[in-house]
Amino acid sequence: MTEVVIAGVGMHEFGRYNDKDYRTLGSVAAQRALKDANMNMKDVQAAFCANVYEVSASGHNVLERLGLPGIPIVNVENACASGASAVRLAYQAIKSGQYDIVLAVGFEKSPRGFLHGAGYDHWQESTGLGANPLYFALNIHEHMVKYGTTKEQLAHIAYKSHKHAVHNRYAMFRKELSVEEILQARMVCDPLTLYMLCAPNDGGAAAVICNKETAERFTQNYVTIAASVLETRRRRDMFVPAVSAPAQASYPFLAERAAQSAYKMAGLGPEDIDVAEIQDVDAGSEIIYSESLGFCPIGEGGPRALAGETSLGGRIPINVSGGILSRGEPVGASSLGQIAEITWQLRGEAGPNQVQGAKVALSHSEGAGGNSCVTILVK
Amino acid sequence: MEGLVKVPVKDGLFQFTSPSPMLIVSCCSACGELVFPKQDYCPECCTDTMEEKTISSLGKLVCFTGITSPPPGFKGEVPYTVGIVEFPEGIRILGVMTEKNIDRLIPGMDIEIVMDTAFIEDEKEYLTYKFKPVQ
Repeated sequence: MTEVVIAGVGMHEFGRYNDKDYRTLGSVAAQRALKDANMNMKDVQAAFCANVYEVSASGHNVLERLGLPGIPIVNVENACASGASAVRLAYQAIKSGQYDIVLAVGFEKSPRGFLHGAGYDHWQESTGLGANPLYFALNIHEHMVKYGTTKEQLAHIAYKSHKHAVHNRYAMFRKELSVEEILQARMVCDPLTLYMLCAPNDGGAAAVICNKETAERFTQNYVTIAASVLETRRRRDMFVPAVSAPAQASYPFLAERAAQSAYKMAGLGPEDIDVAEIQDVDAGSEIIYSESLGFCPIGEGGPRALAGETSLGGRIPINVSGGILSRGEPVGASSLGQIAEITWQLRGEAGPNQVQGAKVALSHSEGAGGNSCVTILVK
Repeated sequence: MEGLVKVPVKDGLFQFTSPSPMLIVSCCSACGELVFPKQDYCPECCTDTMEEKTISSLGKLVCFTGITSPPPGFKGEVPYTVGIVEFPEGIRILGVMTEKNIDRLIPGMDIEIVMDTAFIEDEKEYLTYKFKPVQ
């Protein structure tokens, strides 16, 4: 059985860079990942390049900065799950034996403000239904009605994110915020204030994916991909850009299904996970997904977070990098950034945000169209 | 909006000329799955077994949010509210609500479907379905 590993990761700091284009953001991340793996483009046999908003063949334009070895390059667009989808393609390419070394790189120079082009029909946008934060707000409001989740718990998620991000050089927002500041910030989509929503921004992230035998020729500092899963929306998932859903359904929600598949593939369960990076595109999503991924019972995500279970030092630290709320979300790069963060955690290189003794880590991304990726890495 | 031609924001979403406004949905003749807006293929069976039906019943408000800044492509006026309403036929539908802000909205309240102005453009009044709390 081929063991698929990540031999190196790299990121271009997430932020806002008016003086840099996507080629720079992507190539810096790729170059850092290759350097981390003690490789260069000449070693790479194929590349999957994740991006959402650029022109065609953007990955080709990014990688030509690092050399032109003539390898197959495939551009991947899967909304917020683009980066993890590229990793999954790389994983499969190695697992099948087709290649020994594959590069996955994600990069984005995001438009400012509300993201558009998330698959809405014209009438949805013109009447006011075509806005992603609407969906996030509605999802968490239903959770509040059903389970009693509070605005204070939502504020705590954003507070925790910013507190952790102070130590992360790759995050855009590195200033601590008080719960009061978060609650009193401008209301964007009730109950979500400005600081409870992520900001689309610029950045890059990359991973070099190999079979274990090949990786060992270059580095001993690798981690194993135990699961790499992508699932998409079914009818009950009222996710961007769905307009309706059945009132009742007999099957689990999207993130629950993706998590179940990933745990099965890895032969592990949520109790085995030491640290997780999950799609906190807003504070409500972190609460909902912490439940979907099995880290706590459904409905208890808010109180558990408030009690510190998901903070650094807690039972299951979630988004100790600061997550998407503090890193910002360069859409095509975001989920590869999560994978870089959990790789550093398993290698014991996460600095002040290190989860001591982390052996198993999970990343989860979820995006427009109804894409959910769950990746599990083990040391 | 006297004198303006009334047109739907999109054909096939709703009936606005009938006395009681109705949403047009698809119902699968094989499994009963309901979908709005209407479509040819059943999302569960993946077969073209959908039949057109209408919904005009009262629903219950599941959840809601208020928006104060116009999202991209929005042609109406802020502030406005959006909600998910669950209908007894077994479908929940996303829609703009008639209320400007969330102050009077309560989860579980009865909601009726109405036709209302979405926006005015090129001297036409574009209509959409909205969810209105039953007084």
